[in-house]
Amino acid sequence: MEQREPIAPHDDADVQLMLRFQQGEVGAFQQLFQKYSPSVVNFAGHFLGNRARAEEIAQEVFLQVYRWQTRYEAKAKFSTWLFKIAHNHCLNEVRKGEYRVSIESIGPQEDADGDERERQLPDTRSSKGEDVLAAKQAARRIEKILQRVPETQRTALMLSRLEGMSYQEVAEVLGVTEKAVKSLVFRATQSLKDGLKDIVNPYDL
Amino acid sequence: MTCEKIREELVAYQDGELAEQDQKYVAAHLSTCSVCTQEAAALARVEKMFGSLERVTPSPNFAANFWQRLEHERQPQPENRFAQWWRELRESMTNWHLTPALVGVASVLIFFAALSQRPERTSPTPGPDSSIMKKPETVAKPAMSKESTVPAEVMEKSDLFIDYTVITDLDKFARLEEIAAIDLSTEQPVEVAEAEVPKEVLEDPGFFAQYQILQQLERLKNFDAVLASPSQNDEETQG
Repeated sequence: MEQREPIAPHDDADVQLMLRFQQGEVGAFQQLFQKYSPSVVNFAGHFLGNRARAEEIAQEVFLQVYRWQTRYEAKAKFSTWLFKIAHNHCLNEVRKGEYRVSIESIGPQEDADGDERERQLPDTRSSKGEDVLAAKQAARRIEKILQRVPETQRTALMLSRLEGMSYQEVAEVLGVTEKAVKSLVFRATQSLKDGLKDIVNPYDL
Repeated sequence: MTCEKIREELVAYQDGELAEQDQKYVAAHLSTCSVCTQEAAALARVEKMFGSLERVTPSPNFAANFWQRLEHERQPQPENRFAQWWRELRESMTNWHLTPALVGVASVLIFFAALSQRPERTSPTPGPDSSIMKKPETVAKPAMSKESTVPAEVMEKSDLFIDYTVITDLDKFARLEEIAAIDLSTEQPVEVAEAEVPKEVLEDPGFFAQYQILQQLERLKNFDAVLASPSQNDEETQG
């Protein structure tokens, strides 16, 4: 795998915002919060499978950013630094084990037979309404599979797919090599493919 | 590269994360291998489904809650009980009402500190190479006279010697009543040659009692200089 040059932090506009905040400009911090808080909530929400906890985690992440006002050093892109904090908070939350993952809290409501009906999804859709329903059911299954994937694989896949990060940026977040990220994303995708094989490979069943 | 190896590269290939030559190699393989092409299509469907996941969006009051929480954190935290006790103690220490009591306590402490730090009157026996041997004999004489009053057991154990002087001092305190009972009127007045005492001191008798002490202190002030100067005995031995 081709190794690229590390991203120059000072070329990042968000790093400049953080440095302005360091100089005492609170408005710069507000801009960063407005820009990134939805992404952090989204990341934590899919990571934990719980919207309420995701919001609490996102608040803690930005409180930590605020506390770092005087100590911040521009060593990486702001987004990679921020998601490193978010990833660590999510890991701590999972390891606490103080709550049960409730997929329902972020996805559409399902009844007890939901799983079985999801497995009987038709490959061809008769109407747009059915397509929407099938997509929601598939999304719910993806969320469930995601919770079973190891945390590092989950973060690698989510940052790559949901936040559009390159493998190099994901590697910076996780503190691993790009080659390791390639492997993590591959294995996470394989887990998803295996869990959704009745949809993605309907003729193999 | 085998099909199995190619399949491990398919996700990175679809993400455009392979090196340029590897991208070309995988593309060439897919154009000839139907099994790997089918696998690539399945992965693409997974990617598409994952990409269409609904975003978890913050609730409407999320931002307001955050700024409220931040504001709460910026406010000083309430004191715990120990911190409160310590602050009150510090404040009371600066209160002028307690000043006389504090002065009294400080005086007692200074008195005991002065007692415990009294200079030792004796010095350990110097070794043959010690520079103390070169000191003038006149300075060593008082120590010699002291030795004659010290019991032999104490002299043998030098560590006891230091304590012995303290004990003898304490012994004096035990005889305080006896000393106080002495009728000073029967004692011969201290004769001081008028020529040695300045006129100002004689005019003011209040100073007279301290004059001799001041003279002693003046000698002590030059103590180091006296030690450093060669004595008559030294000059004789050298001559």
